[in-house]
Amino acid sequence: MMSIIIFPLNYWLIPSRFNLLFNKFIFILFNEFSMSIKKKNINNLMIFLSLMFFIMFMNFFSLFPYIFSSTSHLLFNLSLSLSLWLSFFIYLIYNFPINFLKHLVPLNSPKPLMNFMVIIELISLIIRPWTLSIRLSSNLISGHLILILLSNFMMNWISIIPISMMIQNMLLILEISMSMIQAYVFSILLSLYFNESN
Amino acid sequence: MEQLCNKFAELIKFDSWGCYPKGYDRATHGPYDPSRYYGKPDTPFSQVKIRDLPDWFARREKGFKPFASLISRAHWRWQMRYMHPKRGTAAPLWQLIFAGMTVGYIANYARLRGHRHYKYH
Repeated sequence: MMSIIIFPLNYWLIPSRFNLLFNKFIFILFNEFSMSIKKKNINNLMIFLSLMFFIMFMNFFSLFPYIFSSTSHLLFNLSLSLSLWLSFFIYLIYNFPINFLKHLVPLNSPKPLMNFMVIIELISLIIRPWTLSIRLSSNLISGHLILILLSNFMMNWISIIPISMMIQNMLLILEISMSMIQAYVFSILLSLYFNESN
Repeated sequence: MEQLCNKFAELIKFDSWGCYPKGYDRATHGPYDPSRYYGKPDTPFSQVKIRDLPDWFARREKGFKPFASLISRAHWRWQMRYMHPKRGTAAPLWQLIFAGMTVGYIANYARLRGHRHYKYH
C-alpha cells in the first residue's frame, strides 16, 4: 500500500528527480535480470522486478521503529517463494518431464553414486523455496537484533554513547544496503529457478 | 445475477469511470488537471466556520464515486506538490515513513504501553 502511494506517476514531459531515479534504477535492474532469463521469456521479467521492489520496500520500511517488519517472518517469505517456485516446478514436470529426470543425475557421475545423486538432487530442488525464505528472514532478524542489542547496551552505558552511536550509524547504513541486496538476491535466484524450468 | 451486477455497476457509476468529471469543460478550464475539483465551487474546508460545518457537509456529494474521486484528487495533489517538482526533495519518503510509524504505534499501542516497565526487551 505504501509503495503504491510513493510510486512516481508520469505527468510532466520533463521527469522529476524521483521519476529519473526510478527509471534509471529499473533500467539497470532490467539489464541485470535480462542476463539470467532466456530471450523468449523476457516478458516475464516484470514479475521478478516487481517482486524485488516489493521486498525492497518492505525491508527498507521495516528498519524504522514501530513499522511491522513482514519480511522477517517466515510465513510471509514462504508464501512468496513457495507459490512461485511451486508454479515453476509444476510447469517443469508437466511440460519437460524427461528434462527434469535427466537433471537428477549430473553428467559423468560415477555409477555406484547415481542413486544417491538422485536423492541429493531432489532434496536440493525441494529445499530451494525454504532456503530462499530462510535466507531473507534470518538476514533481517539478525540485523534488527544487532541494532536493538546495541541500543540496549547504549542505554546501560551512558559514557559509551558517542562510540556506540557511530557504530550504530554504520550498522544502519549496512542494514539499508542489506535491505536492497537481499531483495535482489531473492528475486534473482527465483528468476534463475524460472530459467531452469523452461 | 445480471440484475445484481447491473445494480452494483449503477451504484458505483461504472459507466463514468475514466471519463472527465461532469463539470469539466476544456474551453473554459484549459488542460485537465487531475488534482482540481471541477464541481460547483464552495467554501474550502479550511475556511468553513464550525457552526456552518453541518450545512457544508449536507451540500457535499455523497457516494462511492465522489469519495473515490476525492481520494484520487488528494493523491494527485500530494504527488504534484512533493513527487512531480523537477527538483523535489526526500520529503515524501519521510512523510511516508512517519505516517507508517504513527499507524504502527497506534495499532500496537496496547502491546507497547507496558514496554517502559520491562526489565528485558
